[in-house]
Amino acid sequence: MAVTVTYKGATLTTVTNETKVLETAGTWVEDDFTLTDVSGGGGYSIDEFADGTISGAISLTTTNIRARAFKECNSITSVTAPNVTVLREQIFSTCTGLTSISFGGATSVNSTQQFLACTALTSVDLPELAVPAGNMFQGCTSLEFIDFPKVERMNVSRLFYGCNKFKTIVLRHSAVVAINNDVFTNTPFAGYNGLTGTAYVPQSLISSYQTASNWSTLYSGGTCSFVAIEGSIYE
Amino acid sequence: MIKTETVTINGRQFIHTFSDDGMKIHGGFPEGDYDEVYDPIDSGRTYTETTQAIETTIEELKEKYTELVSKYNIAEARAQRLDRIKARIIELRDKATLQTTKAIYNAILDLFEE
Repeated sequence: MAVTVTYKGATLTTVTNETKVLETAGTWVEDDFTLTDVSGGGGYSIDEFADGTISGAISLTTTNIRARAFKECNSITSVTAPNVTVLREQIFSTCTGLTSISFGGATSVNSTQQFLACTALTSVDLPELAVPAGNMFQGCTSLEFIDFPKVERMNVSRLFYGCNKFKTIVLRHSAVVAINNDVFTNTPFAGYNGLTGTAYVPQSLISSYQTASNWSTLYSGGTCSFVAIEGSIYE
Repeated sequence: MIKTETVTINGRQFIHTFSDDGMKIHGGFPEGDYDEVYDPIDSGRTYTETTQAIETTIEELKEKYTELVSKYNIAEARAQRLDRIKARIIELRDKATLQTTKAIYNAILDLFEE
């Protein structure tokens, strides 16, 4: 998908000396915009992108994205960044047009609110992430499903707070994944709007989840059920 | 300091454990650091207070501030009502005579029932 990038009010078709950000930060290749380095430094600020001037699907080859780099870029529809290893604070927060994220190499987070209030977000691909951040998906009101293959613990604040359609999570870790008490507040897992949530977990852990700290209140309330991954569509 | 209380959620009792100093607590199942924890009442889980403060976002602080303002407004309204009651008690006391004392006393009691 073609993307449009504007800088200081003008649509960019070539990189000139006046386009300091792009000159330093990336390259403009016909219909495809690929950022090769948005890590900051070198006298420019990637925060200059955080004004809604980038639209469409973006592909990032960079290994580092500065905090708040794409905050409130409401016209971005998807992002693929396979080489980013650390997800920093609010990198795509309040991107209300963002529907899909894919960070194949992200293993950790720094600070919080990475995708806060991305209200159109429906597809999340974080295959290597071990510990998500506080408020990471808070207010993502279109999010219904997440598969966390490598997540080991979620004892962070308000991870899915207010994700009022979020009803399915797949936790493949070989031990019970710890949760903070407010991870699922105002979601179907906590009975939001009369709905319920389902956690797909290893069969051998189901009884442990039912009595685990904080999970037990959701389970006993009848709003959170545990289903074995084995034999399910998520196996 | 670690605080515990028994709470009823959806008709079942749980032990709620938290730090009254706003610190994370350590323990539970699975063992780890938590902001606060709800456990089955018979779980026997124990916790220690860590030195790590619970992180709070600006939005959460705003929510807490709004909650505090609300509590303050309620407290202020109660204080104003108590002031009115006090003034009325003084007024009634000053009017009291040997014949009206019991009636005035009952009137004062009624003020607190309003």
